Amino acid sequence: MFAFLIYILTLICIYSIIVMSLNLAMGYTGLVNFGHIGLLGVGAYTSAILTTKFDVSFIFAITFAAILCALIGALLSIPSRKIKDDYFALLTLGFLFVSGAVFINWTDMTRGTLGIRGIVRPEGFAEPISFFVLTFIMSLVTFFILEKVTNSPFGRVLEAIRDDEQVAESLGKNIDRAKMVAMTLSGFFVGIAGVFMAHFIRFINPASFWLDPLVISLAAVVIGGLASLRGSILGVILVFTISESLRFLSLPSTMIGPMRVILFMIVLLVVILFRPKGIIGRADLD
Amino acid sequence: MWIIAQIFINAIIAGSVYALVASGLTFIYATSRIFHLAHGVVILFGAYIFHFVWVEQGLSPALGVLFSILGSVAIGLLMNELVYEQQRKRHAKRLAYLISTIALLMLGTSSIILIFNTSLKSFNIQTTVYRFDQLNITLMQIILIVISCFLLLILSAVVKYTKFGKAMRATSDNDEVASIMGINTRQIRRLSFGIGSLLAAVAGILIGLEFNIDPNMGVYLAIKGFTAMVIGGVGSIGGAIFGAFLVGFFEQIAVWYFGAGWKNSIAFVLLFFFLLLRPRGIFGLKRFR
Repeated sequence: MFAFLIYILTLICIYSIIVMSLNLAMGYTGLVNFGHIGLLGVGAYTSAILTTKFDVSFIFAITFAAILCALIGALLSIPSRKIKDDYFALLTLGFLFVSGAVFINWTDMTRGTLGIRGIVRPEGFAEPISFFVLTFIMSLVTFFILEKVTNSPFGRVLEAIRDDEQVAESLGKNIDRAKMVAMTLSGFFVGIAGVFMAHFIRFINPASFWLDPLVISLAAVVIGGLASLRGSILGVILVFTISESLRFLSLPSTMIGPMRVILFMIVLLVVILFRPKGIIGRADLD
Repeated sequence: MWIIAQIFINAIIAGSVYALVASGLTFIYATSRIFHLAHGVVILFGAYIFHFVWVEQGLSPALGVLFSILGSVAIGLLMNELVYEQQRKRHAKRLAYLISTIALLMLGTSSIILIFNTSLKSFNIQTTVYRFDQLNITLMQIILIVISCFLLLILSAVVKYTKFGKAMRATSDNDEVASIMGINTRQIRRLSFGIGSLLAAVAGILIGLEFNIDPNMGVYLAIKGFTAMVIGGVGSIGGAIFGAFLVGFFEQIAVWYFGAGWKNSIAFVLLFFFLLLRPRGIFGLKRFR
C-alpha cells in the first residue's frame, strides 16, 4: 500500500510539471499546444536513448533532453505568428502525430513499438522513495520558477497576448519574442518531465506518448483552471484521484484504460459547459 | 510506370472516402463554424453498427445500412444539441469548441473500445478483381467510388437548387443576417449536422467494406477530412472534395516512397504547408458554395 502511494505521488509530481508547463503556453499565453505530449515523448526518448545506448550520465541526459525540447518549443512558436487559435492548435496536434510516427518508425534508435526497456534511475535515487523526493523537489522548483515568471511584468505581457494580441502589440510589446520565450520555457520543463517519466517507469514505448496522456493533461489544465499554476496542481490531483478510484471497482484490466478516458472526458465536458473557468482559473474559455 | 497508375487508382479509392468525410465536415463548418473533429467518432459508430448488425447478428446488410445511418445521425445530432448548442448559448470562444470536440472524440473512441474492444474487424467480402496488365481494381472499389460520387453529386445539387440549400448558404454567409431574415439558423445547423453525420455513416460503411475497421481510425479520418477541407479552401464543398483526393494521392505516394508507417502523418505535413503558404486553400473562396 505504501509503495503504491509513493508510486502515485511520484506520478502526480511528474504530471504537475507537465500540466504547469502546458498551462504556461495554453492558459497564460493562449497558445493551445496539443503537441505538448510529443515534446514529453522527445524528452523521454532522448534521455532513454542517451543513457541506455551511449551510457552518458543522468545529469548530461536531462540537460541535453531539456535543451532539445526547449529548442523544439521555440520552433513550434514560430508558425504562431501567422497561424492563430484553433489552426495553431491543430498544427501542434500535427507535431504530436509526426513525433509519434518517428517513435514508431525510427526503429534503429527507438526500437519501434517494442519500446525501450532497462532505463535505470540515476545513481543514489534507485529506491522509489528517494526518486520520489527528487521528483518532488523538481516539481517544486518548476512551480516556483513558473510562479516567478508568470507574476513578473513578462507574465503580464503573456496574459495580454492571450487576451488581445493586437492591444499587446500596440503597447509596444514584442509579442513574437514573448511567445517564443513562453514556448521555450514550456518545452524545457516538459522535456524535464519526460526524462523523469522515462527514468521513473523505466520503460517507454510510442503508446506512452499518444492521445491518452494528452487528454489527461488537457483535462487537468481545464478542470484546474487556465492561467493558474495552483489550479493545475489541483487538477492533476483530482484527475489522479478519479482515475485511481476506478481500481476499487475491480473492473477487468482491459476496461480500465477506456473507462478512465471516458470519465476524464465527461468531467472535462461538464467543466467546459458549466464552469469554463475551471476550479480556480483566472482565464476563461468563453 | 504501372506503379504510378496504381498509385493513382488507390488515391482515387481512398480519396473518394475522404471526400465524404471532408464534405460532411464542410457542411457542418459552414453553418456552425466548428471544426467538428468528433466527426471521426460518428464514422466509427457507422462502421461498427453496420458490422454488428450484418456480421455479428447475421441480419441483412440493408438493415445494417439503415441502422448504421440512423445511429450515426442520432449521435451527430446529440453532440450538436448537448454540447455545441450549449456552448453557443454562452458565446464560447472557438478554442472552447475545439477542446470539447476533442473531448467528444476521445469519449467516443473509448466508448467504442469499451463496447466492441480494440480488435480489428473485417467483413471478409469476396469480390471480383479486374486486372489490366499489372493494375488491379476490385468490383468493391468500383462500387465504392460510384456510391461516393453519386452522393456528392446529390449533395451539390441540394446546396445549389433547393430552398434548404439557399437557407444554408445564407447562414454560412452571415448567420445573424440570416436569422433576421427569418431563417431558423438553429434548425439549419441541426440539418447540416444530420447531413454531415449521414455522410459519415456512409463513409464508415464503405471503409469497413474496403479496408478493416479499428477504433483508432476515427482520429485519423477526422484529421484527414479536416486537412482536405483546409487544402481545398474552408467552406467550399468542391474544394473539400478536391482536397480529399489530394490527401489520398500524397498519402499513397508516402506509402510507396517511405513505407506504410508514415501514412497517417502525411496529412499533417500537407496541412502545415498549406496553412503557412496558402491559408485560404486552393480555391480560397470566402463564401460557401
